[in-house]
Amino acid sequence: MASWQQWLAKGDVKTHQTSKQEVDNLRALITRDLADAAVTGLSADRRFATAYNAALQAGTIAIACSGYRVSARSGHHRVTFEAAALAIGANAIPLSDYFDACRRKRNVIDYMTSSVATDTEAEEIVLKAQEFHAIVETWAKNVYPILF
Amino acid sequence: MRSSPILEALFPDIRSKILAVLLLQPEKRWYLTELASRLETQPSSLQREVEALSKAGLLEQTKDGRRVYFKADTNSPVFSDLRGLLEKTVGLIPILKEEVDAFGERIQLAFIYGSTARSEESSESDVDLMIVGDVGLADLVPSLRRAEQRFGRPVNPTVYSSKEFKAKAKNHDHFLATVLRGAKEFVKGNDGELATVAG
Repeated sequence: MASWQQWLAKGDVKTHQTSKQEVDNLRALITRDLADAAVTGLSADRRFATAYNAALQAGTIAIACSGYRVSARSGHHRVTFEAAALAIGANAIPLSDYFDACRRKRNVIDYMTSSVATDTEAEEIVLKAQEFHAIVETWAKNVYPILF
Repeated sequence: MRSSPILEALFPDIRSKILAVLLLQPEKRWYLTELASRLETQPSSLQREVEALSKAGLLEQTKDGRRVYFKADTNSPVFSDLRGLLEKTVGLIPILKEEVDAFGERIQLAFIYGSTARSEESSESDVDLMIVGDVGLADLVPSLRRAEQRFGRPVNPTVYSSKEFKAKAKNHDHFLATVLRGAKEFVKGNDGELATVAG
C-alpha cells in the first residue's frame, strides 16, 4: 500500500480542508444510495452499482477527514479504497480489498454489458457497504469529532 | 489437461503436457505408465521426450527396483521460470482448484467460462469464474488475489447462491443460459453435478 506522501508525489491525492457541510453532503449521498440499493425491484446490476457508490462515498469521507482528496486521473476508485484503508487502519483492509474487487464488476455494469451482477452479489454488497459506512463513521467520530 | 495457445506455440504438444504435469506437481515422482495414463497416451510416445527433458536437466530420474521414476528437477536454474510460465497458461485450473477446495462444501460448483474456457485467451485475458454455493465475494477475494498473482491474470468471479442459480437456470436467465451453453472447464464438479445443481 502506498503512503500519503507517495500519492501526493504522483498527483493521485491533494491536500484538502474538509468541512462539516461536505461530510454531511457525502453522508446524504450514502443514505440515498443505500436506500436505493435495498430496493429489490431494481435489477441486481443497478443495486450492485448503487451500493458500490455508497461505499465509494464512505471512503471519500475517510480521506477528507484525513486532510486529502483523490485527484488521480486514472484509477480514481482504486486509490479511493486504498487511501480509505490507509486512513482507517488494518480493520478496513479486507473491505477495501473487497470493494476493489467489486470495482471491476461495477465498470462492466456501467460501461460494457448488462446482467453482470447476481442477486447474491447485490445483497452482499449492500450489507458490506453498510458495514463499511459504519466503520468509517465510528473511526471519523473518534478521530475528527469536530466534524460531527 | 487444458490447452494453451501460448504453450502450443512454444512447445510440441506432448512436451508441454509432460512439463505441465511434472512441474506443476514438483514434489511428485511418476513412473512412465502412470504418466502415460494421466496424459491419456501410450508410454512409448513419452519415452523419447522424458529422456530429452532429463538430459536437458529439467527432470531427474531415480530407479526403484525395476521402475524408473521421473520428477521435476527443482534445482534446475530455469525451474521457477518454467513453472511460472506453466502456471500462467495451463496451470489455471490446478491453482484455482487449490483455492476453491479450501472452502470445502461451501462451494458446490466452480467452473471457468468464456475465452479462457475455449482456450482462445491471450496472455492478458481475464479469467471468468463462476462459483455456486454458500460463499460471498468478500470470502473469495483473498483467495482470488493469490491465484491472480500466481497466474498473472485478473479473475472475474460471478457468485450465485445455489437457490438463485437453480431459479435462474430454470427461468432461462439470458446471461446464465449463455454461459451454460458455452465452453466450461470445471474447477469443482462436473457436468452431472452441474445438472443436479441447476435442477
